[in-house]
Amino acid sequence: MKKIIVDDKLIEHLLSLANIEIERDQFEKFKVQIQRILDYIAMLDELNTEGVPPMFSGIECPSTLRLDITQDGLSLTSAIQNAPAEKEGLFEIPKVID
Amino acid sequence: MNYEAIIGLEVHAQLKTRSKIFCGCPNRFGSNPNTNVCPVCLGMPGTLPVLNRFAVELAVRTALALNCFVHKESRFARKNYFYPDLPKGYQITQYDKPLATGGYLEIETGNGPKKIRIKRIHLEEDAGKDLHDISPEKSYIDYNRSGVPLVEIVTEPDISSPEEASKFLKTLRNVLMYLEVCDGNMEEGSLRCDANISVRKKGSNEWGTKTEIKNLNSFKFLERALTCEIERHIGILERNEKIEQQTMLYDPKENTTRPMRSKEESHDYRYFEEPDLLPLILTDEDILSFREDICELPHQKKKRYIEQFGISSYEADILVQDKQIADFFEDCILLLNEPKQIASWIINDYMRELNQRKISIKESPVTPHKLVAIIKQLRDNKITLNMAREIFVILFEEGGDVQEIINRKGFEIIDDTEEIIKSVREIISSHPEELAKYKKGNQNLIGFFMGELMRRMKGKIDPKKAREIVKSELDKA
Repeated sequence: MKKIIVDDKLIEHLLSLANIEIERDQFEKFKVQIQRILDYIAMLDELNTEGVPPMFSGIECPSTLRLDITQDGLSLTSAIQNAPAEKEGLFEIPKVID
Repeated sequence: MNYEAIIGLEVHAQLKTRSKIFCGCPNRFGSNPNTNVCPVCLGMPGTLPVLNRFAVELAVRTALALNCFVHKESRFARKNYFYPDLPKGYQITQYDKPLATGGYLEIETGNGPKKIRIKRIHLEEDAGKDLHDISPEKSYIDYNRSGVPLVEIVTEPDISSPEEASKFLKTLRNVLMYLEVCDGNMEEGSLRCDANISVRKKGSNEWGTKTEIKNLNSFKFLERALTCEIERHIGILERNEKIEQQTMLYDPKENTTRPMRSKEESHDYRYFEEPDLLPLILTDEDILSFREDICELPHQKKKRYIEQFGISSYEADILVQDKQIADFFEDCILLLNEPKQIASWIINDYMRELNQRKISIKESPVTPHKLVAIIKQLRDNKITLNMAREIFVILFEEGGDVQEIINRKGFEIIDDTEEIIKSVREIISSHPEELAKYKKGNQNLIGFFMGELMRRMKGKIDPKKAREIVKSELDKA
């Protein structure tokens, strides 16, 4: 695996991908933690995987398919009951485009 | 300097299933907001997706009709990004193991037929719908569309002009509608298109930098957006500047393309295997049985119409553009073996009435039986073409029965030659000046005498026969 450099830029990128914010003075703490995770995963590099086909799942059986039959879902009241705000049955959220 | 455009399309088609792709909620357009939802398609924690067999069947049918190789094993992946219409924080799609690869669709161009290669076809789920126009401060979300099954059809960059792109999309839409895979309704978003485009100097082997235009939901917008974007690229190249690889949006009001704000796009999707779904495995028998469900496709139908019915390529092309019309045409032929007459009636009179009334042929009151009844009367010289057209319009407006209308309107052809000759002679003798002009060589006067005769006979004569009699009587006079 390519060596990943854990710097401020990487932390900022991860924060934006995860859509979260942390204080600037927390960066060092997270850098250490993330480096530790990467080092742990890097142990896999010690294994010789030549000629071993990639494995995606521990279960090797085909997907179960369902018939194309409709079922009752949630009532509108239940569907939106946890919404912080709603209007005429729609979920109300902060503006996402100008 | 001459430039050439290189265009590839990504088309999303909603599949005509009854239920959604991973849950049993109805796949239905136009319901009240958030009434076709359940914990699965709302992305509630702990829920699990179960794949809809019919969605798989429709996707395989599409792939086979587009000459693709269908993989017996395909897999689902998570495409991760944050957007409010995506409640799970990821879209379940297919990534490095798609359902099908390597097909093509042939389109008609000004320079003859052209094969547009299909790179891949995969299954995925649609997202919910964001509504931005309700309020200036807030956005609103309806999750009824969340989890509606989609096929994404990706072409190779084989398209060389906006017109070709539009032709491809039209041809593809027609195939999908024939296959009964998608209803093709672009206004409702059942069929949507993104376009990748780059421009280079003609004859160059190097690729230009590409941009992507998102959300083109009509043939007109697709064509216009590509035209704008080609001009924009050429302008940048002419100024010796660099084209930035970015995602664009088309603004139909301004007829211009503008970059999406960076917040709206994210290229770091961190795809990984969907752990909640096992691989989709198809057997040879599955694929074979799906293949049997593929109907005759538009281009095959067109070829058959020309060969079997002797109609022109132009006529055949119009008839196969809409499967309902093609079916109607064939129903008529079963009742009366006059393909050329029937084709001509459908293409001219029938389609004009449908367009004027903005209805489909299925909603029309004029059934194959009724149309054929008119054509039969006409063929047997019982009515004139004008009468036939009048009956046709009455059928559209009031309904009714062809024979009944003929009786009520007193439509009939006077076939008594003696009576016609007698009338012609009377008309000639009461118009000596016109006769004199005719005799001096003014052939246009035949039209005058025809008009007089038609008025006198109330249009109830065969114009061809009448004309012959008028001419021979004038020459004798």
